Amino acid sequence: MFWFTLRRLVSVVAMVFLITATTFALFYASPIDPARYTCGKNCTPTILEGNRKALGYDKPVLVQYTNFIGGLFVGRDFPDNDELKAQHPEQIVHCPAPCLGYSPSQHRTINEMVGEAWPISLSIALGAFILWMVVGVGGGIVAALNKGKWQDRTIVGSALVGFSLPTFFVGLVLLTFPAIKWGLVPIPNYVPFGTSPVKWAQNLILPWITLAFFFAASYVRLTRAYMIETMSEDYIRTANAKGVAKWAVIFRHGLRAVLTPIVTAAGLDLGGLLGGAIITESVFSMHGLGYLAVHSVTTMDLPTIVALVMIVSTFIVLANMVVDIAYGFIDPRVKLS
Amino acid sequence: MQRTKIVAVLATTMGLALAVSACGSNTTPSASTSAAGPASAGGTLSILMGTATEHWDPQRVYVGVNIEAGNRLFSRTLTTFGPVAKDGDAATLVADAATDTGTVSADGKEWKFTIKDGVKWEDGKAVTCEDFKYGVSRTFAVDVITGGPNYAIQFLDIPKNKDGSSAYAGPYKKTGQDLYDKAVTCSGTTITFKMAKPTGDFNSAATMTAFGAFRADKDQGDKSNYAIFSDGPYKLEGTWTANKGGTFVRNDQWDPKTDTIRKALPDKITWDESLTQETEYERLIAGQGEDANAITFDQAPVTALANVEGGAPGRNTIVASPYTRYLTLNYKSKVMSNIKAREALALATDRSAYVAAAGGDTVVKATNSLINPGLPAFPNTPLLAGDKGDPAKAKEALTASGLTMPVKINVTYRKNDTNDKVFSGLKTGWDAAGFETNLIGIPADQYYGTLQSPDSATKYDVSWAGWGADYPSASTVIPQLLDSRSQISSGGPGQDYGYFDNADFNAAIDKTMAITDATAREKAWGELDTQVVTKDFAIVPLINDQFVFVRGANVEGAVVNNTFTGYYDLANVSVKH
Repeated sequence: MFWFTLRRLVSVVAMVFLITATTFALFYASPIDPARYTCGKNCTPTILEGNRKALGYDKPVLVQYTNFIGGLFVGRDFPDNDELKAQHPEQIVHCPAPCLGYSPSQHRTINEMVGEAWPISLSIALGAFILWMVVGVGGGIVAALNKGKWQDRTIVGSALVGFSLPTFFVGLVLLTFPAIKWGLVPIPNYVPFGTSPVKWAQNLILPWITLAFFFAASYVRLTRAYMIETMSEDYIRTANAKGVAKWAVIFRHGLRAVLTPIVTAAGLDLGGLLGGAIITESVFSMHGLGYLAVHSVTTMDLPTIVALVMIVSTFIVLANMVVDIAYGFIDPRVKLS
Repeated sequence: MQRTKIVAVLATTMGLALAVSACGSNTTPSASTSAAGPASAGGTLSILMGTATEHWDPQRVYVGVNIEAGNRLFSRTLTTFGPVAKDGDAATLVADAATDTGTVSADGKEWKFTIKDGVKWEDGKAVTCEDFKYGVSRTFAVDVITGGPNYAIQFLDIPKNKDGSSAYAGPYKKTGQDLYDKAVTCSGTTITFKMAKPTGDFNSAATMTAFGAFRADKDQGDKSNYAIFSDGPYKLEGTWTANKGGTFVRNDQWDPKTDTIRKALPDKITWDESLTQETEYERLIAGQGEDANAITFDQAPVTALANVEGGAPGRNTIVASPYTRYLTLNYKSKVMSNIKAREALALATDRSAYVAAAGGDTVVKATNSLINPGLPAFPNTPLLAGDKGDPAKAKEALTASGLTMPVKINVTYRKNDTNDKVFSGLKTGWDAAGFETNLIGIPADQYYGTLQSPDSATKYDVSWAGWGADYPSASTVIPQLLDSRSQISSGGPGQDYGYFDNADFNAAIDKTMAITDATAREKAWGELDTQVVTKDFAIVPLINDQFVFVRGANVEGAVVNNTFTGYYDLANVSVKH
């Protein structure tokens, strides 16, 4: 187990560096000049060049990438201008390790921005995750145990509706009616959990429902399909014949076998969501990592884009690793080596 | 007003077009309703925004919304434009932190302003001449103070390096500080600006916060971007958070006796820019709870347009935007270097097709002037051949050009659904006149960068563009778009996308810039506009589009000041409570 985890961690690090290098390369292959985004309307070639220098985009891409990687380990100063550092140290922003960079368009370190955005994305993802797992897996079990009955048809039909409605539509409907028009819940505005757990939940309930509505649908179908298959296995029939309690048959013997594919899907979905739910965050004006990503792309904010790509890809590859490790606990047939 | 704003305006125009085509004329917002009314002091005004503020640093602000809001709330300038009584009224240039609108020397090359007594920073210290001098100097630090207007670099009598940059590098490096100290001097409370050339409307340029004061001891370079230090009626409570906003409260050091412009009626102003424009307009139209006290500077997005009139009756404003869309004809192209070909294209341009494709004349108006109707210089040049164009007459001109028919032209535009339709309509008129038009749509992110690349110099015969004045003078239109000396270089055409390079025209620009009488100067700009459109055929103006805003029911005094940026003017806004 230890060596397996270590090997996977090394591959996670390698993969993340590869992804950041590719992002840098792709960004520079694009015909868009990020310096133009800071140059104002009366942009002359001379001022454009000055802006490019101020942002550090005049340096070779390899130097920029090396500086970025170096900052992760030793921190950085912005702007990296020795003359300015000597004459006007008050203008220098120090970004301690692990420094993700400095956003010239938001005039802050990316660590600060991610520090603000991450709790929002985490809150949205975890709440929605719990909701969709309870509703999705629970609904799937109920549907499987009532195969062909009205409960099954109702749950599967609802799942189909949930799956077919796009997130932005569900989000807009929930925002417009319960929040804006009827005032049943507050218009979502993130309140940190530490400030008020109740307000935190009240303001997140609509994003949770929006995401859960979409994700729960696929978990209903997934759980139902595997549960029906499992419940027809010989060992389940044997357990029933031996007089094992029904709940024990369902949860201890049936559900355990179903967990492997569910955990696989859940791990990947949660990993992706931790990096930000772009549409949901945008609809509800929640400034999580997803919103930050959209804003960075539209303003060609290279340092923020690279940092976010690194963070999101780290979540996804880590989630993969956790899922692999979890197999060893869930399924006794799997040996991690 | 940066190009990002132009993108927003275009999006609005597209939205209007969609709303009109989808819903018919009955659902199209068609009336402007003023919010002028009795003023109530106190309460909290809420500003809902879906557009992030890029800069609050006075020398970096270059978006109309922030020029207007910054000036009215916390950044007093030497001069400004006063508020107006109702939408569409023309505002007048008035003194702000200065005692008057400035005095100019007989040769138009020296401007003097005297700072009023009693204008103070939020910490109680007096705003001095040196603060204004220091503020203007920051524009020259182009490697730190990025994104702002560069009029100070253009106007002031400071030599340029060979590469076109200023010999003064700003207050941080101090290279060329002596040159700046000669160009801008303080004597007591009087600041003197020496111009490189006669500049008759420098006092209008001084309305921009880029010419505002900045305290040297508060300057932290880029770190000052959102660090508001007020000399106006409001100050920032706590800090400003990018993409979220902040709260403005009263600045107790502001003395209303020194200020005849700002009524500063609300006790508090909250600025929330964490929203999407769709959410913002949903809330404004619903107008529930605190949103009844809200205004916005964002134009209505596509999803809200159909609901503006029905959902917010008496709470919407539809006014002409400060922008003009036009075609620039490329003098470096083989075809368009021929004046008869340019004339033919101008004659064949079917603006009615543009208007129809963009949503009808409620949302866009055909024009034959580069200068916007909101400016005093607007010459209202008659259309050469009506709004439909005259393909037959155009064909005669094209035949006279001696070019082989059909004449192949590459026409480029910023690609989006509306422009695809617009240019398809325009192509029909041009092709009927004997052109063989090849349309090339370029993605929005790359559009202006592509036009300004030297590699594009001969690729396109005709290009679409948009422009809005920085302050209400055509001095920020004609020279910025057509003065080849300041625009064209080895690095590209600047904003002179058609490489229009005419020594006589440049001389006329200098002559006009030197006129100190505002009426005479603006008239002269109008004449240059007409010349370039009807004699040189270098520019083919197309349309002016409209701004659509919604406000809450409790908001009073919200009037769009077309002269000063074209947004709701915060000077007189109050909240009924």
